[in-house]
Amino acid sequence: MLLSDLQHAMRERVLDRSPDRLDGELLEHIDGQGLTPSQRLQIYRNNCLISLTEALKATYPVLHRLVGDGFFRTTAVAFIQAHPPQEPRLAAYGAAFAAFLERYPPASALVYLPDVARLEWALNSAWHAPDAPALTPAEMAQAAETMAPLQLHPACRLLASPWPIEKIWRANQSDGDLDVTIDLDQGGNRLLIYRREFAVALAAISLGEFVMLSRFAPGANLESAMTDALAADPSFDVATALAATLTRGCLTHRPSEAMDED
Amino acid sequence: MDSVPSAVTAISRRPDAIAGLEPASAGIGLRHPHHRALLEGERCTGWLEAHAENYMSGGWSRHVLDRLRETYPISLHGVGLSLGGAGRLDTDHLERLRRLVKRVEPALVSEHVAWTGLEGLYLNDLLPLPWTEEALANLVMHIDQTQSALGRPILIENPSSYLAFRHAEMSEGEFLIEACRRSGCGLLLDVNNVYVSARNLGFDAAAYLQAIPGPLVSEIHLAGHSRRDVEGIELRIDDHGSIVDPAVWALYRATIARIGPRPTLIEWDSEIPSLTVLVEESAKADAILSEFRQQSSAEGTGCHAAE
Repeated sequence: MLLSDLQHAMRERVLDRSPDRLDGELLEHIDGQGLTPSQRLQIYRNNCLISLTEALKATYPVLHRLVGDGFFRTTAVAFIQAHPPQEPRLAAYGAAFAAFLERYPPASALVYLPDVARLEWALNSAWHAPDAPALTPAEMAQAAETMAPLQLHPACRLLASPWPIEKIWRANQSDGDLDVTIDLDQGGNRLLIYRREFAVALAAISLGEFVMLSRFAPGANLESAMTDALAADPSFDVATALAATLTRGCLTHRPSEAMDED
Repeated sequence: MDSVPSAVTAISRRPDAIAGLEPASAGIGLRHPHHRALLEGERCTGWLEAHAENYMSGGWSRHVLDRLRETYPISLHGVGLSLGGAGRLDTDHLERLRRLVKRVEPALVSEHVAWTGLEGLYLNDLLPLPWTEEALANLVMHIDQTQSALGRPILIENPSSYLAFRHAEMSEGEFLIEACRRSGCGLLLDVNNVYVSARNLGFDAAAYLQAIPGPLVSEIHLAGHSRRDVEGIELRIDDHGSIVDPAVWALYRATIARIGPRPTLIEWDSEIPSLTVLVEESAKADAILSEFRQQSSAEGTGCHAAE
């Protein structure tokens, strides 16, 4: 049996998906030694699906808490089978979980679940994001003069949701208040996720601040970002927003492509 | 597996480039729950081994490894390169590894004799290879590509196995020795894996170890495993979740007695205990290493007296 045929057939076994066309040939090539070839393959299947489920559980602890262990495990295996990891860094695994949940019928009644997943993914990806020097006040003053384009820091994420996902997330932390009642109709959130001194933080921000920071994601100069923010939100307080942006280290000079170097 | 290809006996000494942890001492696997204790405490073990894939991002993990490498020699142990995969190596991942190696300047770099995925999929498990010439040539090609990219030799680790393929053309030991001979890489001998595979597949662990030429071995791994009953047959599961089994200590001791001291790692990946427990386990390995270090220096014949 060719190595590539063997690995194709075994991959489907390990993911517990529909048998490969060469599944029968694979089984014939395995020496059961007192067990069936399927029983021996089952050990690898367990290692794969359980370890990836644990990886998703580590990235999505609030989802796990919201839906319970059994539902989470079933959902995780369905997700793993549909979207196996595409690279070996487990920290990079699970970006598509929110989109998967949107189309996953057993979870359709929990309308806020995909956005809670987006929040947890934002926190995870901010934690692992590349390092970059945050813009200093002096650099910001200079950039205002020279109209130099600025970038959102690679560890910053912006997330808007029609659901109160910040409250849901906070109530489901290990020290959260599980008895709190959250009114789903109370309105949504505009959230900034950022990293300072190796800790990831979460802040609810105004519409103006959200628009301003969004403009920096592809790169923008200060003046155009503030103009757009004021157009969207006439009550936007420029001075306070810029001060908060500096304190939180949300801006940088360097384009994000170069961050992962050296 | 008792017959050693004659070319291997001609290898006189491990290349200096991979003998980066002399004199050989015991180290521990670097795991997330111990980051702060290691950063804040006194030096507590000979060296640290980091899973390469866990240190390829920015923020905290990068900070931790940058700080710890100032105190400890570091070994980088990859789990996801899929050297045994039938397709092409993931060159994006190889490039990430190259950058990490360049930054960390580790004493050792190692990977597994296994495949972990295929055509852009990663399965997060070390999957078994058939011991065939086709699989050997494919593995050697990928080791060559990796060593060229990194500009240094690597070590390859023997797997823990739960199944054997009927179409094997050689023993696991012969396969590994030949892979080292053709590629110039070294061997990371995981004694627990040998024992686990031997129990699961019914071969003699001591004979397997006897047949490995000492000069090929640049590092040893030790870990705990568990037992699982499947239809009345006891399988050993390589879960790295407990102390090292007494039978594995005995095999380790016999191996060190035969080939001399080698850098030895205690791995622990599930139910991770306190740092103290890990350090105590590594001290047991250190005691054995120092016993045979004294012996080999007293004999004045280095570590090859028994070969």
